[in-house]
Amino acid sequence: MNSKRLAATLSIALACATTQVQSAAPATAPTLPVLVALKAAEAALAACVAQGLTPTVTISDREGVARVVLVADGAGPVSISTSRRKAYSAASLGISTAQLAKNAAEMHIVPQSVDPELLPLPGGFPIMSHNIVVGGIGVGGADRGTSSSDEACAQAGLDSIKAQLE
Amino acid sequence: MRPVPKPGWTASKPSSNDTLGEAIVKSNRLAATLMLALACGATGAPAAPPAAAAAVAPLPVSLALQAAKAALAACVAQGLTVTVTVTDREGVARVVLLGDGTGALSIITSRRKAYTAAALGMTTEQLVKNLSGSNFDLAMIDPELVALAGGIPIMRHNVVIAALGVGGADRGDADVVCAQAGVDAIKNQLD
Repeated sequence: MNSKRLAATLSIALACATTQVQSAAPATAPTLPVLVALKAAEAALAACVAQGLTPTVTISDREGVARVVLVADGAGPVSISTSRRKAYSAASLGISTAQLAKNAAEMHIVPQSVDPELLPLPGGFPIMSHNIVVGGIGVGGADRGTSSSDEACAQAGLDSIKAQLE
Repeated sequence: MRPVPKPGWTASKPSSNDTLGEAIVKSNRLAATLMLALACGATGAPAAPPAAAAAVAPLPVSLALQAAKAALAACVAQGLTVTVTVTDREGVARVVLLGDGTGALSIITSRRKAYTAAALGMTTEQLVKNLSGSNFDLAMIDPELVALAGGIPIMRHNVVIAALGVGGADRGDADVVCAQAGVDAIKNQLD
């Protein structure tokens, strides 16, 4: 039962991701150049470092493969895996990981049971170009308790490349 | 950042028809080679007091990023698609940049080259030379080690503080040239 509901949820997530996509041919679909990815990663890292936070920032491609990884001075090993998993989750589902957490809670499902790499914790956003997912950004390790620094830093990274994605 | 390496990827596995004696001889020779590697890596370095390594500051991510960018740019300028990894002194990746169009294997090789250079304190190019003609199985010591040129340790006051690895250029010594360009980009900032 649970797995059926989870499959349905993931289908919904995927459907949302592809909403408005007019069957773009993969060969002509926009991609995320490494220099744009790098810019976003540097901006996200800078936003966190400016607050004295030490996260890891990962930018993945649309397949969820890490293309840029920046580990802040003093960042711990868990931040490396959480940032990667947040980027992966956002890129593969096309929704923010905060939204994924909300969806999962509402439907009483555990995304990790479908794919252990999925991580429903805030701090991951899909990177969109022309309504197509071209990658994901994930920030991990900045949160202290109940703050939402991971998400704020990831958003700063996303904002820094907004103009280049149009 | 250190996924389990795929089995059987690089170095040859111990042959099943090795006798125990041969295996022991091999492992002794390997140990000797690695000791040699470490000794060679430290050649020219003044004897530093044991406490020095702990006192030398690690490589900040800002410099690691600068080196990685320079290495990537050097390869991109030649039309080569590579992955660049900068690890800390423990071999943990701190910066990873995948050039546009890089293949999956370059991710693994760049990481392992950097890891190897950090672990042994010598370039992987030198390791290749040290191992040439021998059949030592690096994987027997640590399957993450790799004897492929393109990994360079980053030193501060003769202490390894990081390493940079380039993988995927696959054209002559391009991996080495790009890696050196990366290390050179920050060498004046390491003192």
